[in-house]
Amino acid sequence: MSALRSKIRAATPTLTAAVDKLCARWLAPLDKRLGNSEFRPKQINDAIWGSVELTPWEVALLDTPLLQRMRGVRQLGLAQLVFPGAIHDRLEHIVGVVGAVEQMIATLDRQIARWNRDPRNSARQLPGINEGDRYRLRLAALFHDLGHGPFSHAIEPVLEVASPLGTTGDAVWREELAQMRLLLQGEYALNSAPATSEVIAVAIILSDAVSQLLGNDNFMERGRWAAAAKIQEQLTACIIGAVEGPGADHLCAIVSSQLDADRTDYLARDAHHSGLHIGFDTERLLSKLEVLQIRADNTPGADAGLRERIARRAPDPVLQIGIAASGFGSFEQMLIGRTFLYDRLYHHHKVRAAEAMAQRMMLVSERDRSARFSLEEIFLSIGDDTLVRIIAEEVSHSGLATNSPAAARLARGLIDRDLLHRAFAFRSRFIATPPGLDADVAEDSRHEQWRRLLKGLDGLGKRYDVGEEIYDLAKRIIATLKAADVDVAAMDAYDLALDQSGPEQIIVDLPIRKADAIRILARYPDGNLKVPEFSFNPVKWADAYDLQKRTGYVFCPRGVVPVISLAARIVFLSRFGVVMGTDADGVIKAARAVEPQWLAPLVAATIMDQETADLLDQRRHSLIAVRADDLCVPSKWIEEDPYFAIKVLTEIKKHVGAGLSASSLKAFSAIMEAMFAFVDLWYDGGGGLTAEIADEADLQERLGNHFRSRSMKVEEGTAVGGGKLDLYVEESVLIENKWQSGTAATPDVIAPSAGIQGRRYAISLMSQIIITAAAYRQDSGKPVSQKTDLIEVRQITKADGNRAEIRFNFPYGAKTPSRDKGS
Amino acid sequence: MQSRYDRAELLVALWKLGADNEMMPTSHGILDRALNALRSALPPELGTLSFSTTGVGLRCHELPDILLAAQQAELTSEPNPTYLSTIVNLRSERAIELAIMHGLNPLEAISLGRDLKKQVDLLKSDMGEMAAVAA
Repeated sequence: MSALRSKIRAATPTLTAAVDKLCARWLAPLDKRLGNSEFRPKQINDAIWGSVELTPWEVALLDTPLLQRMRGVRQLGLAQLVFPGAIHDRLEHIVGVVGAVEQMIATLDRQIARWNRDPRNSARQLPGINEGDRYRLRLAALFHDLGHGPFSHAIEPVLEVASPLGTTGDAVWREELAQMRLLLQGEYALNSAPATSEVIAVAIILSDAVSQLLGNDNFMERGRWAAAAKIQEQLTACIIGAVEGPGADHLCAIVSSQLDADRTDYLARDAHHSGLHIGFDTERLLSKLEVLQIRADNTPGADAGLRERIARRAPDPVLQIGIAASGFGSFEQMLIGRTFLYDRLYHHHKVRAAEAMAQRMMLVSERDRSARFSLEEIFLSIGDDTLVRIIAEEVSHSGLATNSPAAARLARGLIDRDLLHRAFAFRSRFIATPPGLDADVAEDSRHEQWRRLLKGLDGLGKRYDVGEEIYDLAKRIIATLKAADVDVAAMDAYDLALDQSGPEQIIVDLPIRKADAIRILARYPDGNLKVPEFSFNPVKWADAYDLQKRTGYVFCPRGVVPVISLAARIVFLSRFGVVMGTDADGVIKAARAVEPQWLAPLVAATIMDQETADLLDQRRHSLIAVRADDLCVPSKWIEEDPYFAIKVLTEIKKHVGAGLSASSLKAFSAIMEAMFAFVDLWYDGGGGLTAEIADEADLQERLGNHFRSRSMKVEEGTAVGGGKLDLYVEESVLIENKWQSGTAATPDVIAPSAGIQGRRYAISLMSQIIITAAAYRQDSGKPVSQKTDLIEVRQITKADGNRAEIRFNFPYGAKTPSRDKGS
Repeated sequence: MQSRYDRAELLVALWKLGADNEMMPTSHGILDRALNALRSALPPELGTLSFSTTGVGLRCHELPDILLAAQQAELTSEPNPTYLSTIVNLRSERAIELAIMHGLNPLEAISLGRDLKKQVDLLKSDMGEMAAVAA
C-alpha cells in the first residue's frame, strides 16, 4: 500500500469506509467477470473528437456501475430546460476527455519528435510519452469526474459540513472530506486547491475495490505499467493537477491544468450541444502545446520556489507542459470563449432559476426529513431526472427516503418546466444615487452599499434568510391591502399562490464564477519561459466582462411577481439602503415598479414609512452611506485622536449600515456638530461639568437652549406614538434626556433602556438615530472622563435593521476641574 | 473559515494604507509572495492563506478568489490598460474603517500596509534584476 493511501485513509476512516462500500458495489460486476470474460477494444463515435478508441480494460471499466452511474448526470445540470440540446451527460464528457487526452498526447508526441530530431537539441533530448504514460492518463480521464453527484454543481452545498438550512447530522464524512482536501494540499505542490468532486474522485481511486481491481492481472493484462499502489498515486496526482508529489510528473497537466483535456472537451462540447456558436480553435491550441524544459538560464522571472525546484532536478531540467508564444491567440480565444459560455449559457437567467430550484429542493428535502443525505444517498447511481421524480414523489427508491411537500413542489416545477420568474434585479450599476449629490460622494456611497449588499448575501444561508424575509413581508402586504379593500381579488390570488409555494420558492440568487489565474508558462521566441500575461491577461479581462453583466435576482413563482417585487424592494432598501434605478425594471420586464394605490395603506399600517414609499415610487433613489466627515467632529478632537471620527463611524455603521436619506443626513450632521459643541461647552466653558444638574428637566433645558442658540428647529414635549418627546431636533433626530442623581460605576449603566424608550417615537417619526444625553454625578474619587470617552454607540434591538442609539454620557458636579478636566 | 469578502476588504485596506493611490499588483505572483513573506504578521483573515510552488512559481491558492471578490465588491476596479495591477477604489478613511472593522487599530493597519508595500517593491525590484541578468 502506498504511503499516500495509508495516510489519507487513516485520517479519513468514515469517508473511506463509505466510499469503499460504494466502490465495492459498483465494481462487483466486473470483479465477477474478470478472468471469465474477454474484453475487446471499442471505438466510440464522439460528437467532438470523432472516433474514440477504448482499450479492453477501459471497456471493462466503462461497463460497470462505477462509470455507468454517470449516465444521466447531466454535464450542464438543468441547462437543458433552456437549451434543449444540452442533454449530454458526464459519461459522454468522460469518454470525450479520453479522446482529448489522446489528441494531446499525439500533438505532444509530434512536438517531442520534432525537438529531438533537431541536431541543436542533441544534448537536451526530451523523454517520449510511453505506453504506460498513455494508459495512466487515459485511466485518469475515466476517473476524473467520478466525484460528481446528481445536478453536478448544484449539489455542492449538500456536501458541505454545515447545511445552509441548519440541518444537522452525518457530519463526520463531510468533515473528513475537508480534511482530505487539506492533506492533499500538504502532500502535493498544486496549481490550485482541489475541488470537492476531485477529492471524492481521489477517495474512489484509493478505495479497496479500485486497489484490488488495479492489482488484478486479469484486469489490464499486458497493459500494466506499474504496481497498483503506484498507479493510484499517479491517478491521484493527475486528477488534482499536481506539479510535484507522489506520482506527479509533467504529464499530469494533460488531465488537470489550465489547458487540460477536461476543459478542452467540456468547452467545445457544451457549446456544441447548446447550439451556441462560440468558436474554440482547439486544433491550433493543442498544436501549440509543448513540453518545456525549465532551467535556471531560460526562466528569468523564476522565484525562489521555482529556482529551488530547478536546482533539485539539476542537471536535468524541470519538465512542464506549456505553450508556444504563437499559441497565445488560441489560448486567449479559449479563455474568452469560456466567458461567453458563462454569460450566455451557464448564467442564463432561466438556467440560474432552475439550478437555484434544484439546489433548494435538495436542501429543503434534507431539512424536512431532519437528516442530511448520506454519501450513499448522494451517490445513488441515478440520473438527475430520476432524482427529481423521487423528490416529487412520482416514483420511489428504497435507497432514498424523502418526505417534503415543499421540496416536492420545487421538483414538480422542474418536471413541468414551471420555472421561477425574476421579480427583482440588483446590480451595482443599477443602484440609484440621490440627485444633486457630489459625484465622488455618490460613487463612494454606491461602492459602500454594494459592498455591504454583497457581504449580506454572501452564502446560501444568508440569501435564503433574505428570501424568507421577503416572503413574510409579502404576506403582510397582502393582509394589509386586503384589510384596506385594495385590489382584493388580486390579493386573494397572491395569498393563495404564496401559501401553495411556501417561502422556499422565494430565492435570492447571485451567480458565482470560480476565480481563475494564469498557471501556465509560455515559451517566447527568444527561448525564455515566462508567464504569458505581459501584454494582455484574458483571465482579468474575463473577470471584468463578467462583473459588468453580473446581475442578482429575486426569483419567485410567476403568479406573485408584483407583490414579491414590492416586498423585495422594501427589504433591499431597509437592509442595504439601496433602491435600484429604472434600468433594473427593464431586466425583470416589470410593467411598473410599484403599484401606486398600494402605498398609502401600507404606510398607514406602518409596513413602511412615508419616506420609504417616496424613495421606492417617486424619488427612486437610494440612501446615502454615512462618512466620517458627516459626523462633524471638531478639529481639536481630531488633532488629539486622528481616528476618533472613523472609530465612531464604524460603530454607527454596525447598526445604521444602510445609511440615511439625504435630508436625514443633513440634519444628523448638524445635530452631531451641535452635540460636539455642547460637549466642548460642558467641559471648557464653565458648563455642566462643574455645575449641579438639578434634574432631567435641567439637562433638557440646557440642551434645548443650546440647539436654539444655533438657530436649529427644536420641538419639546410633542405628543407622538402614545407619549411625549423630550427633544425633537431639525424634524429628524430624537433626543432622550436622562439624569441620575448619584455617581455611576460606569456611565453606560445610566438609563440602559433609553434607546428602547425612544424607539417607539423613532419609528413613528421615521428616525434612524436616537441620541441619548445622560447626566450622572462625577465620582470625586475618579478622574473625569476624556471627552472622546463620553460617546458610545448602541444597538437598540436586533429587530432594528437600520437604527442606532448614540449616547453622550455627561458627568456633572466635578469638584476639581482644573486637575481632572478632560481633554 | 474567513469569507472571501472579509479577506478582500482587509487586503485592499492594507494596500491603500501602505501604498495610497498606487495600483495593487495582481499578476506574476508578486502579491502572493509578499503575503507569504508577511504571513506571521498578518491578522487571521490573511495569515491563514495557503501557498504552493505551482508550475509558475509560488502562488497563494486563495488569492485569485480574493482578488475577484475585491473586484466584485468594487473595492478595486478593472479593466485598466495593463491588467497587471488593479485600481483601488477606496478612500483612506474607508480603509481605516475597514481595518478597524477587522479588529486592527489604525496605526497597526498602516504599519502592516507599509510592510506589504515594501515587500512588493522588493519583489518587483528582484524580478527586474533577474530579468536584466537573464537578458
